[in-house]
Amino acid sequence: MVERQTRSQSSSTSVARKRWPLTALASGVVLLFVVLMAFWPHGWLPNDPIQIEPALRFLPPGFMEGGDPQYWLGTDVLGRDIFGQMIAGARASLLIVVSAALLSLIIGVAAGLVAGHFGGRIDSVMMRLVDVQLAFPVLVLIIAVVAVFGPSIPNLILVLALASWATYARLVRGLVLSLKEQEYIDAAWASGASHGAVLIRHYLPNVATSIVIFTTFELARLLLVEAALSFLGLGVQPPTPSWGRMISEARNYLFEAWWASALPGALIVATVLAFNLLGDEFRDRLDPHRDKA
Amino acid sequence: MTRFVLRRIAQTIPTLIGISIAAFLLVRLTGDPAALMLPPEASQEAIDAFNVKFGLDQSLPVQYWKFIAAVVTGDLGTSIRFNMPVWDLFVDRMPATVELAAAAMSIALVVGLPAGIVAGLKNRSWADAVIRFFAFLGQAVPGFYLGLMLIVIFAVQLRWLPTGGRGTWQQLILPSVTLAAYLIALLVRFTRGAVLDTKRQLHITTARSKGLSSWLILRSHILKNSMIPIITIIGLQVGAVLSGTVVTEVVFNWPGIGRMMVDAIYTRDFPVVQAMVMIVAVIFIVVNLIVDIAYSFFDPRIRRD
Repeated sequence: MVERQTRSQSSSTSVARKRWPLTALASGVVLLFVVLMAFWPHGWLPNDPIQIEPALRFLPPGFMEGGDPQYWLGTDVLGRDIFGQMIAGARASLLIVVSAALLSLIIGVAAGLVAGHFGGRIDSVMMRLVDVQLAFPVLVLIIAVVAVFGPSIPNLILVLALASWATYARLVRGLVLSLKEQEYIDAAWASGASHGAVLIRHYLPNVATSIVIFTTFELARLLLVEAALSFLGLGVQPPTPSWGRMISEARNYLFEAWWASALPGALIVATVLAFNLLGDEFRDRLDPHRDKA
Repeated sequence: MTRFVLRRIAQTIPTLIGISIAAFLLVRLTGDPAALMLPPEASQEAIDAFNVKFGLDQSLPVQYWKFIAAVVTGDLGTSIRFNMPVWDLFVDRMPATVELAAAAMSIALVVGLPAGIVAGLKNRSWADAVIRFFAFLGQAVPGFYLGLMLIVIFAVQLRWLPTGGRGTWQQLILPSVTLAAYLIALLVRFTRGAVLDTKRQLHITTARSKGLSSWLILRSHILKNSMIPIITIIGLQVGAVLSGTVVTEVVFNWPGIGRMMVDAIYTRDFPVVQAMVMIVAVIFIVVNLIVDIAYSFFDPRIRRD
């Protein structure tokens, strides 16, 4: 154990000096842009994203022949500005994905801490629940729930969170089991700490890094699920703009107007890619358990 | 070994019960199952008959028991839209989905495995960089988007392949490639990792110091030892494949169970939705069980705990 600690210390100091690679920096810029798009008021947009203009149907992007610079990414089947919809679509997507990730994190981490710490019957019941949860193909489960309860934003957040807590629980439980034998946990007990104190003050900080890394990947995955739901018409409902629905609405006009589906899709790819690349970078930097040979 | 298999089978029972409860509650929680499960124009007699059949005036545990009794005897309910047993619909549509999933998994193996091995063996080379780039991309592209873009390129622009439907082998190409993309990406990243891990182990160094040829080391030492985790990962992706088929089938108008489920949702054919959730979950559990047992067969250490 002593050997492992010294090794991870020396490697973490050498990693701290490592420069951030270009991919990670670019990912950061993309995410910053998406977050700004989501939270900045939309008053600066050249056109109202939900304004329907039948006369402007399928205007090509400004850089193409016949395009209008005012609609520089073109318009969709109802003549709505694609650039504006892409910006406005970030809001609902991020709201749903980030809230769902936080909610599943809270449920899953609490379940994992309790299961790993107390063990015994609580642990077996909890892990069976996790098994049941993980046995459902996620998209099928979510589709069914949304179909029955309706696709409001709170429903979407709830169902995505309920479909995602189990992996957190399993991850945290495993980490707690491995921490249990550590001397400082023994020391905490010996100094008379309560269950709550051991859980919050000693286990939680030591699993936090792994949670952060995992959450970064989780955001990417949730974004894909949310996009798929919107594509199937089970996500955010009109008129609120959504990336997945933009693609779905344009799918019957691929021949006339490829941009109406290609551009919002490219934004989804860029955002998911950014989360994944950043997650990889976090893992390389932060995870002390990872062999860096 | 037999004990392990039996215990592993026994472990699926609570999971199955949990899934049946979830499917049961899914429809009950909305308040009025008769409104969901019967056509909107159903007569009062039909509603009463439904309520009596499923004992909706009785307590939830009794209702659940009746539901399970029906399911166990093979009665998964009747589709409102097609007015035929859900099971028959399922049997009718399943071959299309199996065909699509099998084609996608074959493509994923043929492309992903060699690419992952090359990336692992030559890590930090330009080939590794290119392969990893595509793996990252493959994991970031939504299946429906990839499918539509393939249609734009190969069906609309080049006119090489049809835009959808099922029947000819040409129609199978675009949907199976779409479904395979995510699997390829996953397989590449996983195989690369497994090969890298094995490469660093002591017995590889020993083999090298014995003067064995690189090809022999690759074949009999590295690949053999990397295979077990790779097979497991493939097996565990059945859930992802099942989820992926839903979207892929919708994009390419492929008449499988994924599209059947989405159609059932649009037409509010809830008996189909409820039954499909259960069927899909059971398929998933059975495949996981088989993977687990196969895994323990290859690696006896698993059986111990």
